[in-house]
Amino acid sequence: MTIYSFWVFDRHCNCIYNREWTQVVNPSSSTSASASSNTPTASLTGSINSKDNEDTAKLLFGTIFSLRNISNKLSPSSTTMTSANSLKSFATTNYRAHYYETASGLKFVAMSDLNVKDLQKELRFVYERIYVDCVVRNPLCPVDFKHQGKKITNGSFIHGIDRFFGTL
Amino acid sequence: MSKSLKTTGEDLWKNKADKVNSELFTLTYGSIVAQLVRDYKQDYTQVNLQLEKMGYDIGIRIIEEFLAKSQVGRCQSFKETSEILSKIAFKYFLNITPRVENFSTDGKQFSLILDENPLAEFVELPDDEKANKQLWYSNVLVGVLRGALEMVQLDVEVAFVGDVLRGDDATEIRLKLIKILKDEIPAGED
Repeated sequence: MTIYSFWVFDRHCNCIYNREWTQVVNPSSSTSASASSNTPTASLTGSINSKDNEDTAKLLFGTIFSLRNISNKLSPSSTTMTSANSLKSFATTNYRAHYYETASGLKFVAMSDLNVKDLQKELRFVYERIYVDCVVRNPLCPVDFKHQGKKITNGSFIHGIDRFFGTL
Repeated sequence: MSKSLKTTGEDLWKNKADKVNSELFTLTYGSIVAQLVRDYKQDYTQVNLQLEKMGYDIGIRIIEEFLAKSQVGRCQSFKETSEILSKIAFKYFLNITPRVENFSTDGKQFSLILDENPLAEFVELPDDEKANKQLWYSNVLVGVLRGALEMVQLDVEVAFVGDVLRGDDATEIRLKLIKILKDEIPAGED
């Protein structure tokens, strides 16, 4: 199981966290339509909240946003307590993007290789145990990232994410 | 359905909620209010305002904790919101189940009646002619509700309309749905 990158978007549509893990770079994979995450300069350990991702982040958000809206439209009505037809993942030739959204509008996205079929449980875990514990319960860490460009820079969150995805 | 909400609330309370000594909780809140009253020199309207602000900041965080633990999704109606607030949210955080009453005919307003209020145990308002007319002792709850609901796209006006501490018959919080906020959409590229 390989996870290439992980993203968090807040309800103001801003990317508030992104993490890329750079594997041994396979040049052919960067032609894929989805996030070409392997920037030539990236070190072996990858990057956190790197600025040159801004465009990728916007594109990724746009894609997710549209797919999510269309999947909502596809199902005519939803029964109570279960959310409507919701987007879980989509795939390209080289990547699969996994998506999890909370009722409060936070969006968690992870890019993996095609062998990873489902990361819903894992993304939920990230929200419930890492985001809630390290960001929400940390009184000095902001929870509303209204101003564009603000990111989660909290050490325990970054560690938590790395540790968790490291175990996958 | 309401039966299952009740059991969900109880399960959450039993199995997932971190508990804290209720006296510690009550006394901590009490000393915050007392300090505010001193800081604002008995200007109770200011105290109410500050309590609400503090509550709002709690609310925008507490909602994430709530969603993570309770695993409820978006509500389909304001009616459902009221039930979830009372049977799951209040149960989970305060171990009380306020009664949902006085739903307006358009379904946009309702009251939560708190038969017991853990914040206000042992409390007597100061006897200075003003406090029992102006101070909403538990006003932090108003802010919490407003903050938390705003995070799930519900713009709601919340206010106390009665408090047993002031000699009213019941402790009542009135919620009024102003509008359902739209999900924000990304700013357009030129």
